[in-house]
Amino acid sequence: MESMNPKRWTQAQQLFEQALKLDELARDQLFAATGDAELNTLVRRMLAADADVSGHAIVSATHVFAEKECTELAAGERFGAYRVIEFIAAGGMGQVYRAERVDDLVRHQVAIKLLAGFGGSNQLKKRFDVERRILARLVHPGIARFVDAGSIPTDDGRSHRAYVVMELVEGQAITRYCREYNSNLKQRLQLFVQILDAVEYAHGQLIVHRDIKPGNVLVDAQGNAKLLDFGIAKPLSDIDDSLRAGEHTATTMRTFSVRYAAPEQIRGETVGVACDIYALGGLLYELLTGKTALELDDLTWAKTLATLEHELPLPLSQRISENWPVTRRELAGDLDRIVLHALKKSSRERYLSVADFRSDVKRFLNGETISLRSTVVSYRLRKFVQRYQLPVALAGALIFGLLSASLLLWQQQQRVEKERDLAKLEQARAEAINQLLVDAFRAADPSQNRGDKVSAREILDQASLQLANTALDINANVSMRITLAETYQSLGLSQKAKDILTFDLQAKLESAAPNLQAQVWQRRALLEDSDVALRAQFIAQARSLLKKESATSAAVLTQRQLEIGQLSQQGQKEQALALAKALDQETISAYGITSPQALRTGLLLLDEMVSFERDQEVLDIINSRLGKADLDTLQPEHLKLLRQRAVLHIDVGRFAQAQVDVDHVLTSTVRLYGTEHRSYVSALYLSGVLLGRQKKHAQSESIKLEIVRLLELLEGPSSTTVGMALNNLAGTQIELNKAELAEKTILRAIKIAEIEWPKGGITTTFRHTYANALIALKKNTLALAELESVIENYQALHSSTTSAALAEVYLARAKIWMELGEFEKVRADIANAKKSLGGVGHSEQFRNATRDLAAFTALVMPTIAAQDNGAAKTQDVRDPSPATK
Amino acid sequence: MRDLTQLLREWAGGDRANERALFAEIYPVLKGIAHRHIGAAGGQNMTLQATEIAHEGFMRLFAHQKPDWQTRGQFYSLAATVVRRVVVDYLRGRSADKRGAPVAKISLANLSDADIPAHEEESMDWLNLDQALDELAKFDAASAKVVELRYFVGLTVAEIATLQICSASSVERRWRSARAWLHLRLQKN
Repeated sequence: MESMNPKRWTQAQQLFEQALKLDELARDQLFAATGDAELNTLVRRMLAADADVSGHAIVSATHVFAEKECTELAAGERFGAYRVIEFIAAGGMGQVYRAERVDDLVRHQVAIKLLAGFGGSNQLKKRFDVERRILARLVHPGIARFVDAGSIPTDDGRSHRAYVVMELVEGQAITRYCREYNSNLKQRLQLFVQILDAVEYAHGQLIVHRDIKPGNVLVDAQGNAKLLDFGIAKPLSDIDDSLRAGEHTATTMRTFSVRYAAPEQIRGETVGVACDIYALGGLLYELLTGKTALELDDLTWAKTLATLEHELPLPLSQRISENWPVTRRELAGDLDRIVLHALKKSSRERYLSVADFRSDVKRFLNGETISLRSTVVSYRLRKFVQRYQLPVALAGALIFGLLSASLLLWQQQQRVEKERDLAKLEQARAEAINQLLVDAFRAADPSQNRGDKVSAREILDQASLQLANTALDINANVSMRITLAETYQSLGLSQKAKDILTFDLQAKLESAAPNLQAQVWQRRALLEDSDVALRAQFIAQARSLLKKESATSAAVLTQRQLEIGQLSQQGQKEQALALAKALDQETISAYGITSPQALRTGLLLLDEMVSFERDQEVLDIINSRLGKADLDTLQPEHLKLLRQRAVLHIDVGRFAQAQVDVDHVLTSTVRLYGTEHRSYVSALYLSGVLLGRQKKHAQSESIKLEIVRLLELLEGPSSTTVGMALNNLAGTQIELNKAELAEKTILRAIKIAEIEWPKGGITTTFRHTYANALIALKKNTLALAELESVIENYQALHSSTTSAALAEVYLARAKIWMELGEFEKVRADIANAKKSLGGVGHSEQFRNATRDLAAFTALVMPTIAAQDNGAAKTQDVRDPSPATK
Repeated sequence: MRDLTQLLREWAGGDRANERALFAEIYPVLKGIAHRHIGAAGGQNMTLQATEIAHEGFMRLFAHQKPDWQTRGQFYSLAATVVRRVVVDYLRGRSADKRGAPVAKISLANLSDADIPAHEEESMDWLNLDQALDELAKFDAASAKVVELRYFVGLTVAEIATLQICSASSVERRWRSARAWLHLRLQKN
């Protein structure tokens, strides 16, 4: 290759681009016009190379390997014992000629393929000497006969060019043939059976094709199908391998087409019968749908490989378009199963032999039952789950839940296997559920939808929709509903969860298994957080249905947890705690301390301990559960524990330890849920709290900004949670002396809150922050008015939580009065604040308010006293004396 | 860790002074990932591995940050070069270990031409590609970069266009001519 410089290259590029848009003839004119032979040669070769790699030139019906740079053989030219008649086709990688044997009396035409050069090696010849005898034995009407193969030296004598001589087949590629004759399903399948016959025969001779594809299957005018290139790929690739190892040639060729190659073939594993079966499956897929099984167009090589390895073809029945001679109904069911079985990713799961494959196709043609059990849908589901395990851990819990529902049914099915009819019923049920899920998954499958992340919500909605339209027996229906409801609830969609447990179910529920009925009531109890009486009723319903269940069964454990929660809510905290401890102990001894069950009861126990300030005990429990957990594979329950522990550390100022836990929470949350998820928001929130406590307000602000952004994304810009996040953000901004920004932030929050609760606690809290922002901005008049209304609202809401806030407001107002020199009012508000803090409070806010009030009082009282009249002086100083912590 | 986003921004803004620092941040991470990936795959599917190395590296280096799309692009732009070096270093090391072991191959075809039933694959080895890319860069650095981004971090033409702030068609032009030239160059070996 000539040495290149930028100027020369630009010329070449331009010429190349122009030529790409032109046909052969016009290209010749273009080249003639340049008058630069060297440049023309380079660009012509670039065009050829481009055609090679992008496949443009491969239009022949035959599969071609050839030396790229060898000159074409002219008509009449001798080639070994053959005379070239005409050139038939050229692919990017070679040429095919029609030729005849020179010494034949009967004019017997053959096809000669001129293959790639193989250096100076003699190996090709040797290899073909071995293979030739085997290939020559391959005589079958469905196989283009192998005549000869060998190599001839190139003109310069320095390398060899391989050739293969084969029976000349006059026909067209099977797919084109079917299109031209508009063949119906039966005709297509009959052609395919011919191919299966041929491949089965060859396999019997221990010869594998390795490159079956439409271009290698020609159909002649009489409708006979013939396979080309049988057994050619193997010797070539062997030589290829040995050459590569020995001589380190850079240019090697792949002796199969990626589009039809089995995954193991792409991986470079041993190629055998299973590869041919896969390729035959791909061929049949294309024959019946007009589309390739996997869409590999417009993919980068990396994505192609990933697709081949992981992407499962859709059932054929879903791929056919209007006006296609084969109907959806003809394909749905058996043919879907047959083809997808041949296309399975693992070679061991496919048909074991072509004979098995053929027998199913023939049974289908005869209207008999095929050999396959209906495993296609569950297979697809399983693969789906494998594939989405990590990236969409958001849906992970959901898929896991759905899967365990299916598994449960499958186990039930195993148990009743003896009774044939019942077994059939169960199988039908399991399958129906699978189908339901698969359809739901598919609808939400990113590869088929919008290339976006799969949303658990979408999957659920699809599944619910399908549930309504699918005839499931009552037990299957109910267990599906429970799983869906649980998942909806975990996504915070309580109404949806309630709907799915009630809609069109009331009348039928009684015929379901008692255990399932109980689970429905339990779930409904868990969903009923406002109506205590109703909740109690549901819990009682569930209890009555669980009498016969064992004490450690999942449903009974849930029942006990519910009842403990109930006690706790009724104020019987001590008893609830005692029961929670007992339940936790029993669960640990039944399932082990690391079990998910024990994690859940541990969490319940911790919940119950909240009202008792036993931090060390809580810490011990958390440590016992987290002790053996692998920090790199934490589960959602572990995260709750970690969060609690972090909070405990933060509370007592162990910031370094808290930081370690917070970091783990963040990392694991991202791993489990990704960043666009509520759980990640909670993790960020925790991290923000930690920073805030360390007075790292700048970092805290950026975290809170991110929380706002995420919540807007997740819950919509005008949801209450966004308002709360804005309120938090505004607080930090005030700390950072960004009062103007804080004012804008909090006004956004108030706007949101006022839509739903104009006078509610949230709005008041936000207005409180607003007032703080106004104070920071020195807008005293506005601030006073705002504080006035906040005080009114807090008083109306009067509760233990608002008393600390109320004290804060009075204190804030006192500070303004102080600035304004209104000492009487200062004194009054200090008294008010003190009164608000009259009760006993545990909260941090309460403690802070008490402390701040004391500090302020200590600060201002001497001044006030000095300004006051002498008589009242001593008394006043003593009166609002600093409250101690 | 230093602020990668800031370093990348300066780097992308033309300030190459910190390139060494950036490399020092990124190279060890990608190398670690590369050895695990390539080791596990036994040298198969190198293109896929390279792409994954880049993505995983990105995830890891930015785990606690929230990079914008520009940072992301800048990272991939740099990572293409780093991954290339990681992979080539790895293969050199390996071929020194096991002389004569098959050299991992990648494909030059982009498999994007729909209607053609047969796709012939032309393959070559990474070490020669590395060399050829260096040559190409001498007279057309922009096209060499396009190739690097396609092969070593698996970006699509559209993504590259966004990254380089130019039209997809000009990326496609560069890609196609550079690919043809590389193809010829590698055949020559």
